[in-house]
Amino acid sequence: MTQINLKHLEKLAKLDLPPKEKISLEADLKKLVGRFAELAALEIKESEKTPLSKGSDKLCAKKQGLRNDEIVNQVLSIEKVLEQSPCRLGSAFGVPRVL
Amino acid sequence: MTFVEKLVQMHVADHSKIKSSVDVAKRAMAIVHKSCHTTLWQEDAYLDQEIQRVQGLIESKGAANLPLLGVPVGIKDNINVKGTKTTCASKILENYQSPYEATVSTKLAEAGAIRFCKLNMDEFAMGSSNENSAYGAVKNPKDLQRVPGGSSGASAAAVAGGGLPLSLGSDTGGSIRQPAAFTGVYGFKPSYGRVSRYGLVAFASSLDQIGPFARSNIDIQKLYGVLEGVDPFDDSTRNIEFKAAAAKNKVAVLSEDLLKDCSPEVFSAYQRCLSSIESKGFELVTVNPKGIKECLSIYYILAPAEAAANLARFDGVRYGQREPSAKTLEEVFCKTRSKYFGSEVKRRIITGTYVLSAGYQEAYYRKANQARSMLRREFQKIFLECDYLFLPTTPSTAFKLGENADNPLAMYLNDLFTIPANLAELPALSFPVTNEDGPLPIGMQLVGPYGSDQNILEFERSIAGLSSCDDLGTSLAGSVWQEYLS
Repeated sequence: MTQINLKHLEKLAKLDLPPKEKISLEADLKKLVGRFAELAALEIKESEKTPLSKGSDKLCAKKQGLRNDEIVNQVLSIEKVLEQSPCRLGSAFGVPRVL
Repeated sequence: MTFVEKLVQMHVADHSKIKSSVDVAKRAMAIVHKSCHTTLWQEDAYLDQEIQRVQGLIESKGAANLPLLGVPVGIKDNINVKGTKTTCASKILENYQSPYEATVSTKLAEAGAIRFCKLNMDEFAMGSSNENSAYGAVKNPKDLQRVPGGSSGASAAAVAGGGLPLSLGSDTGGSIRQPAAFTGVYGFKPSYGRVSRYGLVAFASSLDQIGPFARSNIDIQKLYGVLEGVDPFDDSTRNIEFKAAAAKNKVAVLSEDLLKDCSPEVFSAYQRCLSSIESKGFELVTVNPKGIKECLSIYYILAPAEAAANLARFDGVRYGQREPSAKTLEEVFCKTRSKYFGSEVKRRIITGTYVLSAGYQEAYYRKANQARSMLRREFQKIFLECDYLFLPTTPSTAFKLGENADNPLAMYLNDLFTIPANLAELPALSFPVTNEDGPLPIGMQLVGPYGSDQNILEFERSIAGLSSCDDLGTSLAGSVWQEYLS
């Protein structure tokens, strides 16, 4: 059975759901996550995991002529500012972060 | 001659006709809006400014250099057009005024188009039926008891109902192609990076793409030609020259077990199309790309994860509404978001938050990204052997309003055939085909290699006879235009 701590998720997402909405959302989320199990069963070879060279992140960096360490430093400095923001779901680039 | 060609020709010959055309569009869109609830913002004063701006452009650039001279274009309400409201059909952005132009809006203006109105949509482009708008559901002009599809439902309905010749939508998992199929018009999702996303309110940044709706392939090409190109404001745009290999005369088709969810009428229309393609000398190659069965799971991990990040900015501080009863900063965030986001948006934010949570990130988000990379490679392999992939746009025709409202998973299944092109960043065209078994429109889809946008459009024209958009005069408001153009 999928364990979903909705209260914790609400806190992270800065949402306070009414009880009725909470019940239906929890049920829907369980069904959806149940479906994700098919993905866990999907075998992916090491060679298939590498992102393609035309991936947008690589391309952006290449276009701007930045070296890897410069990119990392820029991201870190922005992340540092974001850490202080109470609404910390997002990053400056709209790229998700682990919560 | 197409709808757009006739209008442009008329305006080149007589510039004063631009104002008459805008008046006709107002009458036609009033009819479509009354039945289908398509329009979120339209103002006479703004339209007068638009007409004056285009008259000025004629003097500075010359009428012959304006490919969309005086053509009214409807714009989905998640695209910023300076001086208009951009609500994303959400209460959280009620009364929000665009402070700047999206690049596509600038391009429309430079091409001489009239930016006519802002069109209804599913809230923040999350939905497949256009029932998730905070300002009321949109109806299908082909059958008012049914949904037009989503999330760009009103962009499709405006064109299908004969209100406007062209409109813009955005496609994250099929939001242009699915409504195009449900309403019987053309809808095109360009390759990721071919059209700038600058000024598009982001849902899932790695999947979103702006694209056109029209009543014909040629009009799609005209609008796409204006929109495409590298934009310094969007670093994900690319100017990749597509080098078409010699035509292989092979079209890939999905194996039958992947089509088992299709309704009988969609399946029989698909079979008829395959016979027709074969009769034109193309070999059909059955494919079963690894990862395609898991597409829905991959998408519903990645898209909500990105949405949860992108929608974090709507916190009651920077944009739109703020809940007045909040007493602390924490309450401002929480109360504003809880009150003004709709339930589907909250469902996806919570889903995204869940898949990004520590402990689940590896199992879900990381695995989904790896599967996405693998799927891209699978498509690359297919296009080494075949020119295009041909498949239905949707598993069924348009369903009834409210039919799937309480079952989000059933709703998500509508995107089954459209999601792969978004995950693999590929161009895909949905075009209407004849439904011999019922009255509702059916759409078929052509997917091509990355960057083959123009080739797909040309290929669809070369298999002429397959597509069938109804006559303008038979649509809800089409007679208003037909009378004017004749």
